Amino acid sequence: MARLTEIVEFLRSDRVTRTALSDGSGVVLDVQGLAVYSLNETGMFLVEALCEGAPDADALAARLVDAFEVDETTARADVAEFIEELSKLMKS
Amino acid sequence: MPEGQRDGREHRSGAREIALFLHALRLSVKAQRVRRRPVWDVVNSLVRTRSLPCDVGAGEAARAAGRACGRIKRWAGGLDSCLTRSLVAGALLADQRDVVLHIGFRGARVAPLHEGHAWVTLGERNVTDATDREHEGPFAQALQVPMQRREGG
Repeated sequence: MARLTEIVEFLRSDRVTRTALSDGSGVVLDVQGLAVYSLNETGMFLVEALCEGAPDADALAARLVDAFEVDETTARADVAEFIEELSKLMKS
Repeated sequence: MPEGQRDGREHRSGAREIALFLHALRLSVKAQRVRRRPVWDVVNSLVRTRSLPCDVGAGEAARAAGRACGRIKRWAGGLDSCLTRSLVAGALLADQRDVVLHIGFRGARVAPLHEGHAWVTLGERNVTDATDREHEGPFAQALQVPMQRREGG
């Protein structure tokens, strides 16, 4: 949970820009470190959900189930992987 | 045109080009900091560079930036990219109004998933882009940084 809060703070900070592209994918640019993180449609959806205030991993997984018609197990695994990857980006 | 008059103009034009190249070279050394400093810090540093020329043409600035960044790469293994070229061209133009550095992304046909690009505009005019890039599709803007000259510091 603490890690998710840190990710939200990071995504909302001045050092980061989020760019949504027309195909639903997107890019998170860390301007300070000049790191670029390419996101597919699911990843960009999760970034937007987090910035809109999804409170925890369960809520993110629930949104994925609704939006992409995946089963809950898959959604939870996707969210866990997403959190792991974004944590790596923050450390880079 | 008389021979002497033409020679004189070519000489002045050549001297101006060389002077501009030397300014661009100085800026391109500074622009290398973008590898370890935030973009806006580098922009701030570039627009504070002393004794830069005024009223440089957009084409001249782009050419000088391209040459300087190319030389920095060849001579010192420096970074020659659309970002460093845009930083240098933007700094050369920054005494004029509405100079903006842009960074954007678009989907790529091959991996990685997205292609990033940097360019500079002077008013409505795209200064640094080759004209053949647009047919591949527009870039969604991720960041815009105004470049306004402030000498000293």
